[in-house]
Amino acid sequence: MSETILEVNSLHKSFGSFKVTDGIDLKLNKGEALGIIGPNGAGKSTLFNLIAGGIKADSGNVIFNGLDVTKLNLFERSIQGIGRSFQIPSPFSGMTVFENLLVGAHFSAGLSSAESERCAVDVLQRTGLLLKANRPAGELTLLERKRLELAKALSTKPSLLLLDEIAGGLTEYECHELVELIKSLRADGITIIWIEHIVHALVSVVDRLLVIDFGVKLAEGKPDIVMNDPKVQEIYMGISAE
Amino acid sequence: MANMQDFLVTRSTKASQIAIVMWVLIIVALISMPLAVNRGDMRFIIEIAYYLTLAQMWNLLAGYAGLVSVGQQAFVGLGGYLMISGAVYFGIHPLVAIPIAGILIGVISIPTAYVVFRLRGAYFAIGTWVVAEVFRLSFAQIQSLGGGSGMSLPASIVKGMADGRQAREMLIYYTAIFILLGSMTLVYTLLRSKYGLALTAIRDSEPASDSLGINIFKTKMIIYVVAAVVTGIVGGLIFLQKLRISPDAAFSLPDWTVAVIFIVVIGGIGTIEGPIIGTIIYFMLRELLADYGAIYMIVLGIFAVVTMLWAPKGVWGVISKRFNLQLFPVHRRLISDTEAKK
Repeated sequence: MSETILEVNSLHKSFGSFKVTDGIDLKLNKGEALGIIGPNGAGKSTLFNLIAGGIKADSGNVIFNGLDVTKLNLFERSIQGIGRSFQIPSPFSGMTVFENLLVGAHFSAGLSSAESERCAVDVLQRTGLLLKANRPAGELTLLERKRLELAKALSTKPSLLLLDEIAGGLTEYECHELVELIKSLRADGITIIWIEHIVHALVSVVDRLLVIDFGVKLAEGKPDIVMNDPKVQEIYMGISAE
Repeated sequence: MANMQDFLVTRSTKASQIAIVMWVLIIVALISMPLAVNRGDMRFIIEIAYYLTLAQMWNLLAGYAGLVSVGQQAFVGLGGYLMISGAVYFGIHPLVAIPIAGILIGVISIPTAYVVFRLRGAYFAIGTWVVAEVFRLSFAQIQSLGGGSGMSLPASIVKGMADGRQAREMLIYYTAIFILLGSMTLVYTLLRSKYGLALTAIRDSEPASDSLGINIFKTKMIIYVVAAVVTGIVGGLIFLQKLRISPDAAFSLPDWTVAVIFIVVIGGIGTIEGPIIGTIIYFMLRELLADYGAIYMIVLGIFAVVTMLWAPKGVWGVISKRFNLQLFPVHRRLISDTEAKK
């Protein structure tokens, strides 16, 4: 049951002289859900991009399902099974919601036309977007865009799903719905890494919490233990309680 | 929970069904046109046909693949020169030389792509222009092709194409119509295929396309080569009609790229309908202002600026939004089974 799906070894990334990711190690088992928190500019999104392939590491490596994907591009890692959502929703605004989902099903999951259509309908139902299927994606509301962002990632049939601040800007109820959806994805066996500022939503889903600041790991472990860590309270809660 | 059996995927809309009838009528009209009109009108239709084809190709490049090239005249010129060289030096029938030129241009465009694809955005645009200028200056050096002053297609070859002037013009006319319809079919089929999905995705967001498994470099490369081949074929046709070529005419930026950009931008970039509307507007303005000299260019410029400011998606963008119209059904719609039975 504890088969490793993702292994990150001493990952380094600098932008100029600024070290954004400074030697991070990470190991994730299949079916696990990991939450990442940290102040703005701590290097969370960079770490995400290093795993998904949007940014190439200066040194260190990323092993996914036993395959060294460090040198692979974003689209190749997507085909391997790493799905991601973007912090700022980036829908294909000139396409319908349905067509938005066909893209990942076709190109990342490698499905045939008929299978892609079925996959897209499944994802539409799961994410509550079925009634919006024929809407141009550019006309969606913020909540719908956030859902589409998640739906697009799901259309690639990922085994590892990276969620980047997907709950931001949602109401309490919408956030609750989202949490339930993510829990159901977990139940399907999808491994999840979730970056989120809304900590209570995060801790209700994840098994493990990782706190990063200045590109280094500050704390890691069970959510309740990590949240009570004095270092975390000082840095993270100090900022969130402003 | 609903199953896939409860849904159907369709692309046609009421407007698109009516449009099919319209397209059929237009195609029939184009084919029977030589019976009804004089030679001057036929030449005019040929010109419209090749501008529309060039516009469709530039639209694929810039409107979908995000490759804003201002160097497509490189392929028009190459097409013209390769057609004439094939006819003069290898004794190939000009109409056979045109597709051969197309294939050769496809081959030439691959190393060209590796050079210009290293550049992004405005630098890419300048890079393509530089490449076109390199071709122009190089061809001006080739003495066997007339150097800087160019050459004409020898009368013997022209006469050998068909029996008599009328038959020859008919031949060129149908070649132009064939190239136009062929390229329209190509664009339409491409956009309806899974590559169309990839292209539209790239048009809307490159980072999102990348993260959904689309190989952006490969997709752009394919489009660049396809556009080069078709643009080259059109180049061959243009100079077969003109019967004379020179480096300045063959690699002309205003004639083969600026006018085409105007057509696509005012018509509506990133749609199949846009270039059609743009071509109609361009030729209407040209005919209307033909007697006013420089004012023509000024009016064209004003028209382009006004369109870009108030209707960035062009005239077709305004029409399709206002009436929710789609004349080429490329979008997929999901409808429930019960809805479909109605």
